[in-house]
Amino acid sequence: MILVLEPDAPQELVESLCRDVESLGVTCEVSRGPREVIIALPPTVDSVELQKLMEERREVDVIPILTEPEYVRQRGRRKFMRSLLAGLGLLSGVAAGIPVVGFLLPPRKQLSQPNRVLGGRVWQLSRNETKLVRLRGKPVLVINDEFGNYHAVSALCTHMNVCQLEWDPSRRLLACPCHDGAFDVHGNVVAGPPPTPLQTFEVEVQGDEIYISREG
Amino acid sequence: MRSKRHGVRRTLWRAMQQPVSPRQAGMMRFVWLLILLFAVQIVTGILLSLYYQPSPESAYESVVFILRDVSFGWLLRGVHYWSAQLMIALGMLQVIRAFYAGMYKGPGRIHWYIGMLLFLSILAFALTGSLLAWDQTAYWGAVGAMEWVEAIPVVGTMMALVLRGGHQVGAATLGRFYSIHILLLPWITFYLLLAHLWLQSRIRAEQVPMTPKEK
Repeated sequence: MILVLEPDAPQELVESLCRDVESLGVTCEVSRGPREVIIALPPTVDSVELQKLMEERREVDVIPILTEPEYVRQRGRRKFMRSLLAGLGLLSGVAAGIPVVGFLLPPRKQLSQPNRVLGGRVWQLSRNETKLVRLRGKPVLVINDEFGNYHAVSALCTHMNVCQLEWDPSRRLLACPCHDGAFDVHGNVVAGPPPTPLQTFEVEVQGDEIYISREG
Repeated sequence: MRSKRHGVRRTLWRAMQQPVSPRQAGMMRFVWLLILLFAVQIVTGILLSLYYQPSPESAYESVVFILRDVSFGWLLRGVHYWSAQLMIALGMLQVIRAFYAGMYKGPGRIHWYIGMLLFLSILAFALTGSLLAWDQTAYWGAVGAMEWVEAIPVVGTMMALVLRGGHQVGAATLGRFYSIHILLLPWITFYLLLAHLWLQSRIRAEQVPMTPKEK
């Protein structure tokens, strides 16, 4: 323990402090420096009693001097707390970074559902046959008509927008099983209640691959 | 330019390093919380602007896209929205505190005025930002707010015209509010904040004497 006072502390104050300290049964060693006055006390002093004595004296700072094992113990604890704090900081940094990186990546829906998909191979689709594919999550019928021309139209009847059209090979029409609507290969309404033609898509044949695409 | 940036950094550094008395500490706690929230707003705002499209045809669609399709879009939009709400609440509390501490009087009252301007800029952020969602609430909120502006004597009609870009809230208003929200206000707020912190370290530190133990 040491007691620290202002450098200009009066002699009477120092003497009265020494009397207090000696009442605890230890010797009083005073050293005056240019920046402070220090009263050094041996480690045997009763620190609780000393704190009690000095409580009233606002002009004195009581500073404990640590024994070496205590100092080593505290240093270890500080080190542990520091690395714990750094670890937690790193963890929360990563936790905040994951949403940001996820946000920056283009949405999955855009990546996995391009505006152009492989609609099938030429040898999979003989004349007067159709194949169902999906473009951006919507069903699309690829049609090979009786003349060998390819068409691609939306497979959802425009009447209720829920019923899926089926190819009727004898009538060469797309028929809706719900309310007897019918469309030709270009998507035009030929029978039944549908109010508008079907959405059509571009068809491109490259080698034996049939691609369908939509704008935008 | 270099020296200016240095000045900005020095002001911030000094404000952060300065010892504060217990009396000041309560006030400064809210100021630093507001600065933290402002930083959060800048980060989330920049991220949201990557997907947001400020045109009447696509504004609402792009907000829905952010909420539904972009990963963590709901989270970043939510953080942006809720920290804005929190900033308004904290700003109000700070104004009330400063008022009861009598900061509007004395030689340091310029500090109070800048604080009030900062609070007004928070409200301006909220007003311009709320229109950007471009749904019914946003639209009619802006229509109502512009009628308030029109009620200001003498200059009200002109101010409303400038802000709206016309007689009705429409495409021009959306563009203007967007520009004010992401370009004008952030910089105004930033420099007001710097002035606020600089005055904090200059004026308030002298006004509130510290006890010998704090020295």
